[in-house]
Amino acid sequence: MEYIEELKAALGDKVLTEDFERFIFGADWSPRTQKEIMPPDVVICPRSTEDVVETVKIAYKYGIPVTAGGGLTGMAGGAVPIHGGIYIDGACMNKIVEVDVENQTIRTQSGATLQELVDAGKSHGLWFPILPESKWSCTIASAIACDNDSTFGMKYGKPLNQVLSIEMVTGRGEVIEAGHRKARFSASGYKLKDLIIGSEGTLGVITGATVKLEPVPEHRHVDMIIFDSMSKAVDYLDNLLRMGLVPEGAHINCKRRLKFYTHAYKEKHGHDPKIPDWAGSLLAIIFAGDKDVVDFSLKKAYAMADEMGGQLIQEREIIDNWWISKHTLDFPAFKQKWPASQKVKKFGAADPGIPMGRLEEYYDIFIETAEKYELDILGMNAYLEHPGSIGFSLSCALFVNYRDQDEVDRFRKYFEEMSKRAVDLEGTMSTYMSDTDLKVPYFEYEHGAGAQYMLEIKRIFDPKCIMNPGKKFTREKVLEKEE
Amino acid sequence: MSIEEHRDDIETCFGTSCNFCERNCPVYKILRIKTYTSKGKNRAMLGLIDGHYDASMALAEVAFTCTLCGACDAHCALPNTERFIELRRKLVKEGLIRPEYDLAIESIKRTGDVFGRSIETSKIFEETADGEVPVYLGCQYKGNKNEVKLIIKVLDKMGIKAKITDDESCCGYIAHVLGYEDEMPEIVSKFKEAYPHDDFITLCPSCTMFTQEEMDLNSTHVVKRVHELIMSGKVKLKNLDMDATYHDPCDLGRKLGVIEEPREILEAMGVRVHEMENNKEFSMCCGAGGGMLITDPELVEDMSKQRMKQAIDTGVDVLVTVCPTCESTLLTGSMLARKEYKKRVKVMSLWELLDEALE
Ligand SMILES: Cc1cc2nc3c(=O)[nH]c(=O)nc-3n(C[C@H](O)[C@H](O)[C@H](O)COP(=O)(O)OP(=O)(O)OC[C@H]3O[C@@H](n4cnc5c(N)ncnc54)[C@H](O)[C@@H]3O)c2cc1C
Ligand code: SF4
Ligand code: SF4
Repeated sequence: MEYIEELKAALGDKVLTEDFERFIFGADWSPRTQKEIMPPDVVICPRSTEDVVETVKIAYKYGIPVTAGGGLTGMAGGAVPIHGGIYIDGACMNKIVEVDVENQTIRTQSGATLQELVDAGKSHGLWFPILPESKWSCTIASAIACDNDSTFGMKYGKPLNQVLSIEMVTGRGEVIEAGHRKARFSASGYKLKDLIIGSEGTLGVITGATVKLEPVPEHRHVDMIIFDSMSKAVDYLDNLLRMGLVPEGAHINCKRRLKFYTHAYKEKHGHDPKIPDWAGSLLAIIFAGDKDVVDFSLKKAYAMADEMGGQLIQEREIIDNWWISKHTLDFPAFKQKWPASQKVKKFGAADPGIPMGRLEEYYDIFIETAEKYELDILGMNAYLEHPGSIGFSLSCALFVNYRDQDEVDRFRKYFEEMSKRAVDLEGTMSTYMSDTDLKVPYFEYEHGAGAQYMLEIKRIFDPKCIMNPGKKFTREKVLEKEE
Repeated sequence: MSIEEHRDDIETCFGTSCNFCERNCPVYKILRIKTYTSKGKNRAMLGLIDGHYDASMALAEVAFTCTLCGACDAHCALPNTERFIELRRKLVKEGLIRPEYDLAIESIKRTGDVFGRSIETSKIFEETADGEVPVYLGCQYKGNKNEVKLIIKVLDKMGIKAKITDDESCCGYIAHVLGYEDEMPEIVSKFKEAYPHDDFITLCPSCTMFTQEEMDLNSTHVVKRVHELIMSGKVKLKNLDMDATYHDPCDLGRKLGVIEEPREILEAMGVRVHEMENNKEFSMCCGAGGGMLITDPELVEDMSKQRMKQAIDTGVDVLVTVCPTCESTLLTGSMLARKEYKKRVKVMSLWELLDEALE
């Protein structure tokens, strides 16, 4: 193909064309069968913004799709090049450009992993607190592109709250810097930066970012409290906030979900942790700061739990298991949980967001929908992801047999239905995976007349619809006007 | 076995796709291209067994650009490196190899030495003529006269009379990791014929691993023997009162589980061990494993520098290790790291310290 020759002439050995190389980049972490691996036609390993500009300019000239990816750990196929064309392995460019200790910011190329940002701040007593479990592989570009979750969201929020500025190569091959340099906010212009967050590569390829770093807390304590219902855990958090206590992180697990995190416990003891029958939810709660402040917060938090009928989990091993699984990932050598627990069926989830008063109701919908499609329930986790207030990112997870096309198809139906039902409950269909191609059918259902404005925005940034086409909108829809 | 027989694990990796294997992969950390990770290779094999493409020289380039260090295994729950050797076997069978490998295997078959040398070890190490305990040098140590003499001296001080003979033939480790399956019976029987001992001491971690795990022989790595003696209180050691970091050779640490012993020996000599970021089961390869020294010395240099940077970050001035390959590789790494980070960490073998600590 002519454009591939042109790419090779411009980028040399940064262009991968072998069948096996392309195949490797044809799937992410979303439930799919092997038959659904969709290799791109060519893979680019850029090392600089200029390499990306070269790539996009050639793609623009020939109208070739460009899909950028990072760790390829996305849960809904966001980085899968469903229209073929060029795949940009964004993780190839991971240089840290500047750690500004005085202003507590870091400037980085977009392929640095979130853990690499943490490491870069370490010697200065700073860290980057947006940390999903996949932090060793998830890039800052992807975190921005799908506005993913963090274990510490209740204090620090999401990428939306931590990113100050973004460099992006638009679908026209032009470089823009969207944001406000190192200033924390700005009332000038339109908030282009916020538009890029969650845009999942449909407006352009992110090549750099400036993000806030935070002081590393001196001390951290993790606890788990059992409540008889999900809503009781929500009320409890509400009461803590009313008292003036802001946990660093909070996660409401249903009983089934806990088992997933305590895989190592089961391996060791031969049984799951013993949780009382009356338990309706398990709230994992994290406090961090100076030791005396943490101790004081805990004292208050324990008293409130007691008052509300909550029961603190005393068996430390259960909490440690959860924490290793969720954050430190310090599994014993040769024994990390993922492959062992995914031999036959894999983790697959819907990611809706719902208002705080409707958690219980939505939990019932989750169970009912999973049963309707005859899928194994893994469990629900409500991540608290809004800084200093109650805002849920839901992970409504199932075990999906990735060798069985019928089951994968049923999972997708479940996914669609869960998305629609969240909008019906005055919520949103996505909180950390973004829309990908899976939510396209409900895009207008969620956004109403706003969807048309979004379409126009897409066309401004990407007139030929080459940027991750098929995500948010079908390619045909974007190109309709021009035809 | 064929890679098809690994299908279950290959598919499990596809289903899991968690990428945790990237975390400490020395090759990926330098090249930063996903094809070189454990997941990348597993995925490439998935396409192969599903018939999406045939093996190619380009695939071989990826398969052989791996130190087989097992860091990916430590962060996973699948035995990935076993499968990578299986892939290499397939590539070798299909002739998809670099000529340098063939030359190495030819040398072993012709001379019993991977470098094609014929060294009269009994003459060089004549002090062991009356020795009692067979000590197998292996190809790496055979050419390292000074260090072997030092080891002999240290063992002697501890009451072990080493016996080094001319009868050595390469154990076949390198042929095994390069995937020369068809050549293995010949190489192994040549070794067994030449070296008919069942109970012997090995100096090189890779020879130890191979003779124990693949040949089922009763070899003991010298560190284990020395550790036993020190722990039994039979040998007296001086207090060296110093700080150092310790580099775990992949075959000795991650594969054979000899992890605490060298640390305890160091502590017994008054050496305070400051761990590098990657240590013990999660140690990081010096870069020279898996046959990479033969074909990609530049990448090996980058990896050794990467490891020495971790040593620099501990703040100590000395790195101790106990593998001939790691030692020479890290020596280069130390020089390169010194240039770049303006700090020198001296690479020492455990034997130098033991010699100093023994009366
Ligand atoms: C074991 C495991 C645990 C996980 N835990 C969590 C968790 O705790 N919380 C959570 O939210 N998620 C979690 N995830 C899901 C996933 O890791 C996150 O969604 C993460 O943000 C994806 O990062 P990635 O680099 O792998 O992205 P990819 O899958 O490579 O890409 C994600 C999206 O970003 C876009 N993108 C990537 N790079 C660029 C770029 N340079 N420019 C423009 N767009 C780009 C892609 O096109 C795609 O739409 C987990 C996944 C795994 C495998
Ligand atoms: S090799 Fe193991 S750690 Fe790596 S992606 Fe596959 S399952 Fe995960
Ligand atoms: S064996 Fe070592 S070099 Fe090879 S893929 Fe695994 S971690 Fe990387």
